[in-house]
Amino acid sequence: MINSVPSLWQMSRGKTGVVTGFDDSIKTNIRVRLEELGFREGAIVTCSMAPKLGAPKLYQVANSVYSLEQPLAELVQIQTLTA
Amino acid sequence: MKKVLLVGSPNSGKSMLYNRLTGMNQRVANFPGITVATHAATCRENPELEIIDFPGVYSLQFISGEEEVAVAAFNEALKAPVGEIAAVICVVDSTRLEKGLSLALQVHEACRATGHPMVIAGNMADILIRHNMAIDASGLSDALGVPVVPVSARSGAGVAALIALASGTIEPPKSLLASDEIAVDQNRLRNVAEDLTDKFGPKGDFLLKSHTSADQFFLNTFTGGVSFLFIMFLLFQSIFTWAAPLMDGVEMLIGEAASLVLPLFSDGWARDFVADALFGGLGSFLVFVPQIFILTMVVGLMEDSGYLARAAVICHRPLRVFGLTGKSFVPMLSGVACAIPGIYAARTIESPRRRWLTYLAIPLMPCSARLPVYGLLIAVFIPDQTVMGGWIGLQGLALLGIYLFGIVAGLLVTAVVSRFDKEANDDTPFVLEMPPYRTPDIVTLLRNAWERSGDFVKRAGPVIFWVSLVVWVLGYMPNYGEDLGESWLGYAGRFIEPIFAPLGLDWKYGVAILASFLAREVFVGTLGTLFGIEDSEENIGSLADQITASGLSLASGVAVVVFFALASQCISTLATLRRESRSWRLPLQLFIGYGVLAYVVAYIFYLLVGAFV
Repeated sequence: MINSVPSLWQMSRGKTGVVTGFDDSIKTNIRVRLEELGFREGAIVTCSMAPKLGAPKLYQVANSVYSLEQPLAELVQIQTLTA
Repeated sequence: MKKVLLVGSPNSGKSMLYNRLTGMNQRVANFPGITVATHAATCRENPELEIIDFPGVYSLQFISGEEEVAVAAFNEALKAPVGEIAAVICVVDSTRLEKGLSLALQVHEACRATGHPMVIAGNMADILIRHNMAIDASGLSDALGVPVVPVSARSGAGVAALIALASGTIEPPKSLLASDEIAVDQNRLRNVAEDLTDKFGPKGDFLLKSHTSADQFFLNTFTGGVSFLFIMFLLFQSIFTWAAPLMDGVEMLIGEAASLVLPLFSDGWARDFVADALFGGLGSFLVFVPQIFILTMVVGLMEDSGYLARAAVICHRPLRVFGLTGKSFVPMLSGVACAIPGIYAARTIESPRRRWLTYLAIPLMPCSARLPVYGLLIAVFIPDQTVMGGWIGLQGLALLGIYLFGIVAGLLVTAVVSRFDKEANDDTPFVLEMPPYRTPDIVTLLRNAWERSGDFVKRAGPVIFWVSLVVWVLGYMPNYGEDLGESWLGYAGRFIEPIFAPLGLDWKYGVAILASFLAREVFVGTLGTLFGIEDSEENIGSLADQITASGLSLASGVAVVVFFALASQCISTLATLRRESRSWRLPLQLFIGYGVLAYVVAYIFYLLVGAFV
């Protein structure tokens, strides 16, 4: 399942992080698509919206904003930049 | 005639550019995946060019059915002999250049490999100008070895330069990277896109700041939910309150036309036909077209503003409970206007399983073809009154209730089916781009609503005319309209009467329901013709008044509404489902299953309402 490396889903609103990799369980085509959208290693991602009740969170990357649901956001590993 | 291929990522404004180039009115919306098929038309400024618009894709490596269709069609088009394609125009959103360039580099390589010329159209240049920014078109052009033209599909700026380029001779692109490097390492290609954006693109996240503050409101757990419900409430209120004056106007025009035309005929079958079948049947249907116009207008407003994507995010979590996804929201909302574009829009759902569940829900969405039926029965049973200081109309509230019934029914069906469906492993996760908020163009909205209403009339009108004609002949003969009950239609109606008698409906409603299996809206026209024949002196009066006078009970009226909410009568929808699912199995299952469900639930409601009222 998900390892102990922080994931996108753990970011709260306003937090910024750097993508460090992907969980091993991610399918190749999904990983490629995420990379095409800008979620690739080294990319700076900001969580711009984190609605409650398990709704998808909004992430800003490369001048675009994407909504990712929990199972997907948990597969993108990050290193948090801001406290 | 040479071809110009238009490709680009979703929300790059590609279809708006296509409309600008061709003068067509292809559907555009501020939501990814609106273009779901290729379209072709002659270039307005240069008739020697045929413009072909492909569905938007993020990459030539597809992951969804919608992208597969687009990429396959694009690759097929590239097989044309060198010289047949004047240019492949890759449309990129200048405000988010990196994303567009990721695709443009793949298109660049595809054009290089096939020897076709390429142009990059840097769309939304007007937005950059408003922020005192621009892309370095000449620098980017030099770096890529292809022309780069800043354009604004909205204002038309730069479009003439684009056509002039495509009308001339453009050299095919040269290799930027070794082809095996691109094939093996997509990251290398994306790094190039990032470098090019850094060098030649606009700087900063200037657009995102205002969007974020709007999202704080529209996606907040509380304010987002409340605003979503409020917007949905406004949608249904507007269908009655805003459309009412237009409906009165259409009714008045039909009355005026009848008073001018009918005196031209002497008493006899021709006059009866014009009065009963044309003004009674077709006229009764036309009265409801303004409601369809308003519905299309309001849905278009949501599409163009960028709110639709936010609504999909808000709906994602609740829809998951029913086995659906937030991306199901847009096909389902499209289904409120018409099921057919809704079914096509479901292509944007990457997960085959959730797409299939969305197919099950869409035919239960309260489409505009049901609107005339609901509008008629609401006018019969619900008084035209307002409550809460005139803010809430009872008829609009009733329509909202009926619409919610259809939506809830669709969700319950998918919830039940998803529980029993064992093929749950195939699931593609939810990722959705949030388009920038934009001010909708009112002229485009009006034009779209006008054209879609016109299409609706053109599609339904001939069917209603012929059904009205057949119903009129059967009801008029053999005693020339003397006694409807003794007519051929009367005999046929009494034959099928036992089917609808348990719902408290007489044979006239039975005939109208049977006719509605051709198209739902035929129900109103058929009743108009039937009541016209029966009461020829007042046949151009309000059909609702005639139904009220006929003594239709509330329980039967509710049963009819429930039947229409659940039955899958639309032949076009079933044919579209067959095409999308590539099998007759699903449409046949829906037709039979929803037909039985509709009858049983209508009967239960008839008994319940009859017991309490």
